[in-house]
Amino acid sequence: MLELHNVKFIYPTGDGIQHITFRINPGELVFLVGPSGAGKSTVLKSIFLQERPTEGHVIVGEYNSLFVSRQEIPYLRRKLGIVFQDFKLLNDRDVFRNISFVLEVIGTRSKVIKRRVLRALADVGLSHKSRKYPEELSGGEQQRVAIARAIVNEPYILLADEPTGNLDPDTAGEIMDVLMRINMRGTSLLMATHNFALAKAYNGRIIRIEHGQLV
Amino acid sequence: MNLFYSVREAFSGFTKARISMVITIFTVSFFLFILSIVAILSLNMNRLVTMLNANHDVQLFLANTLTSVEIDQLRSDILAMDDVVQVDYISKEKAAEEFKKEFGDDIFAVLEENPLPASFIIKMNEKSDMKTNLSDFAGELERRPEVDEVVLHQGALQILVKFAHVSRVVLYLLFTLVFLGSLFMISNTIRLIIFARQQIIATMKLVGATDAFIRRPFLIEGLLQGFIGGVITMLMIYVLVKLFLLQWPGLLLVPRELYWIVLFAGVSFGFSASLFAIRRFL
Repeated sequence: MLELHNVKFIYPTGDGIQHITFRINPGELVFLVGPSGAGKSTVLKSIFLQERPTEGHVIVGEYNSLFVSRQEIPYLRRKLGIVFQDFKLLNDRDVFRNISFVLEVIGTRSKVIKRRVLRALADVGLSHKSRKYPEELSGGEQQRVAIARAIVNEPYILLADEPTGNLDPDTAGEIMDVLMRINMRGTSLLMATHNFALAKAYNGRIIRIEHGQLV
Repeated sequence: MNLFYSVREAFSGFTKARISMVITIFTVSFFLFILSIVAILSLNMNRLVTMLNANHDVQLFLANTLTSVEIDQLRSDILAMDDVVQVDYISKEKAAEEFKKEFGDDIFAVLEENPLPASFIIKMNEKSDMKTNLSDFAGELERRPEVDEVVLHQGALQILVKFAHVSRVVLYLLFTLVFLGSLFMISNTIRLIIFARQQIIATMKLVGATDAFIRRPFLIEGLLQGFIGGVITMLMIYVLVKLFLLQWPGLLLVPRELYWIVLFAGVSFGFSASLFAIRRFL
């Protein structure tokens, strides 16, 4: 499903990751834990090929980073759902359209789009706010929209990069509940976090990273 | 491929960035308008030159000593030259008659003998390019011993034609410069619009949108901007030409095709400038 083999990526500044090897099985819950700057985001970026490994390789479903052309990267990303700390919602469109455009990208029929978006909104408990704009929502609600956007395409695996980093503890707890529900339904979840206590509170595998290497 | 999505995004782009849209459309219209004016001037300059070329002729005065055989020989030599369509012989007697018509006096009343030389009126075809080779043509004839003098009738017009030639070159240069400049300007304006939507582009990439999918709404938007710019220019040119013709009837000829070319140019401008601009962001 998702495998990283001896992955290395170094930025021009010298920071980066190396010797990263792990595998995530279907339905598994995995926390990638490490302090700020340890390389957690770079690991995630190397999975969705925003940063292409200079050594080693990543396997996502049928795609292997060694053989994926630039034109194929969008198709690889469609197998993944990605949630960011800063939500990355589009402020020029409402909640419904923020989620539906993921399906429009892959040419889904409009009837199917409507059904799947409403389902994803129900999953994150935001059915009543589909016509709101991101700026009209709280941080927690925005992150829930981002999660709905990430799962609407029924991905192999959900990648979450510090999804609770910008939220207060109560709201962070709500977001974790949403993510756990999605994972319980069978979607793999790889969550990067600096919060070791948070990771320990859930029944998942913990992978620790420091100075760009797994420990 | 979801064309409906692309069209909807293109139209929503229109409403979201109104000021940028207006600036782009204004830029397209402005440059198209200048290009159209240059084209109209160039077109009418050509027309004037063609008109002048169609009418011009050359008068060639013959030496007094020529026999009729020599005159016939010279006439057939001239007829064989490039661009010559007709050579009319004006005998000394006919020249005297025309003198009388023109001045009202019989030349024989003043002088005992007819001093007017016989001549040929040479008509050139429309293709003969007065601006360059008519003087060469005259020079070539003047070198012949049978020829006394060659007169190019439209001396003043020739200057005009020469001017037309020079200005045509200037117009072509101007046309090219304005064309390149406008493509650059429009592309930059559109780039600003796209720059403002970088976040959308980045997010679209992250959720698996292909470059073609991301590009499409911007291209449609550019196409629409170009179309509207083209329509505005068409209207401006139409009104301007109407007003001009009211003042100076018949002086300007603007073919109907020009309006379609303006529209097509606007659409092409918008499309290619968008294509050029978005390449930077993908």
